[in-house]
Amino acid sequence: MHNREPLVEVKNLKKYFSANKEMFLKKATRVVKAVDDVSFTVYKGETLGLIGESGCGKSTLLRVILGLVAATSGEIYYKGSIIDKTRLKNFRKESQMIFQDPYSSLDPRMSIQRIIEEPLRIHTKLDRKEKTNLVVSLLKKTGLAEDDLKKYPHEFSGGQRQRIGIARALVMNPEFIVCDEPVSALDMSIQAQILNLFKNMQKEFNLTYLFVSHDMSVVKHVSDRIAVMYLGRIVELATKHTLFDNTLHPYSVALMSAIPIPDPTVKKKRILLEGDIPSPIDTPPGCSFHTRCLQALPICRQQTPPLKELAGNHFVACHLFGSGG
Amino acid sequence: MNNVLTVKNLKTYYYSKSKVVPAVDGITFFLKEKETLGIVGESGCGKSTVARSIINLLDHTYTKIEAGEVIFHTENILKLNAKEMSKIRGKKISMIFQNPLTSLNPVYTIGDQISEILMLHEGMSKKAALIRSVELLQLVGIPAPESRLTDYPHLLSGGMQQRVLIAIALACNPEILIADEPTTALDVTIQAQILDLINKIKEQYGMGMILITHNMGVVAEICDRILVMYGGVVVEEGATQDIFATPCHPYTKGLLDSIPSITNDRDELFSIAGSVPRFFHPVKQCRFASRCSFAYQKCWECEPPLFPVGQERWSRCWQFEKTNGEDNRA
Repeated sequence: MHNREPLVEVKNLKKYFSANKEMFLKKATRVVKAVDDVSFTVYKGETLGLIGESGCGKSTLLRVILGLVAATSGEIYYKGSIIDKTRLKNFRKESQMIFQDPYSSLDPRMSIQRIIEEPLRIHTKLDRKEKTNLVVSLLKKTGLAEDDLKKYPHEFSGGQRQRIGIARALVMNPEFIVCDEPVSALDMSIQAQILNLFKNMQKEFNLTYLFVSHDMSVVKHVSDRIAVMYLGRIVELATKHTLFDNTLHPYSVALMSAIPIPDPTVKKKRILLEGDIPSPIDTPPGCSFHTRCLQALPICRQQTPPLKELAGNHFVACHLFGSGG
Repeated sequence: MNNVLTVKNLKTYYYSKSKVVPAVDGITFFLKEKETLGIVGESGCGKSTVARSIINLLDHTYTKIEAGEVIFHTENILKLNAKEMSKIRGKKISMIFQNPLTSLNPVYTIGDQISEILMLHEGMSKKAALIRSVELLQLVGIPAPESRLTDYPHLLSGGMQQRVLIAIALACNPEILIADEPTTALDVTIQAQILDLINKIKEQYGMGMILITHNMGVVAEICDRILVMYGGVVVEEGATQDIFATPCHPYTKGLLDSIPSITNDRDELFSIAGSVPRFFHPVKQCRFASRCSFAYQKCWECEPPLFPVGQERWSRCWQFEKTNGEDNRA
């Protein structure tokens, strides 16, 4: 774990959206804290999994990191230097995104060739033949055929479209790929194919992934380390084995116990959380989880626990652990 | 135990201008009293069509039930006319759908929607129906139910909406509950709550349940028996423990092997090659042959029947032809 080179560092990142209903009255009183003071590091060559329920801010976090949405405050470092306007284009060349919905993320009016080579037209000066060769080699690597070049997205199934999305992400030979729920729209038998493809591509191209999913078993399969998010904050971050064997944060514990296990012989005790996730508008003061937490202390209602490192790269944001806040 | 529901050789076809798609192509199964039967399969395998055929919610402009019987206790409910059917649907057999927001009517309040079914099927007055609605909302775990009666569906979260749908489905103490992907649209922690609720209520009311899902984890936790569907037919049927312990059909086996595991690490997942092909009527091969690693000549020439492979256990694969005789149920 140690002495590894950080590739992307996120420091105190915040993204607030205004939630005012009267758009023209400029009294910004209600805010949605989609991403609230998030810091973490992605090391070169690893897969950092990010897990959380809908509305916890996972997708916003990804979009802010790639500069698709401007951050409210906070910094993002890439290879040691801060990303600002001058470095953004270079960063985007080396970072790519794979989207959740393979139906809406490909332009229906563009052929597969145009879709995949579009980044090359923007970032490189390759001639037509070089571009075609590169696209064909990528199509083959991602399990498609050369004759697919001239086809259009509607001619492909969901799994094949996701392969096209992966080929498009790989065409610039990036270092960092952000994956936003890349397999959750796929069927079970196709999901396994795409997950294997992700792993093979990582070995072949030496990629670093930031992999978001709400499916714990998928995240566990692909990740080296896992971060658990709840209402805009990271509540626990550890290597996958530490997280699964020594789960600390009460939310992570409940999340783990809620996963249905495909084995009827396993009968486990389930921790049922009361109620729903509170609205991210006007989050409760103190720890955002205290409204559903079974072990909440009085301090949890007043102070937000910081993300603290316990032993062995295990970070937890909870008053129950560490020196208590 | 008696069978509450018996489906015999059900065939539901979809018609387009030039083609006939056999969405459900000869399905036979039974549901015992108080039993939970899981129907699993990937999208397009016909699992929802089975459910909709049973309670006759199909759009008859392009669908037709070609053959088969759906016997509820002793009566073939496919033969009933619309008026007779509407007395069973929602009262004796009710259904929960996948997407709670689109299943609730956005312009009526929660109270209106629950009391509607009570007034229609039980002949209650509006006042009595509203009182009963509060009880039902309480039963499904909605806090402060009286104040929820006047709420519109969009004011509730996904989990709460699903609870309202369950309340509506339970309003008339049905004998069979059909749940079509009831937790797919929900988050994991909410899914755990809803599954727990469905299970509790099922026990309390002694209902039979058909649970349709693609999530093997959900099936393993709450189903007694499973039907695995592929391409419009059942490829494997049996008790949950047996199917998970020794899957007999190559598709079931592949499906179980392709799920990433929480408990142990694997570098490479097993994956079933290719994708689900489309079938057009008539099908004269094993539907799984194009993706099966064991497929041989015979699989391409004719479709296998269900072979018995154990106690109340069947598999639609030619490899059992020699060892076991043909299915003698139909």
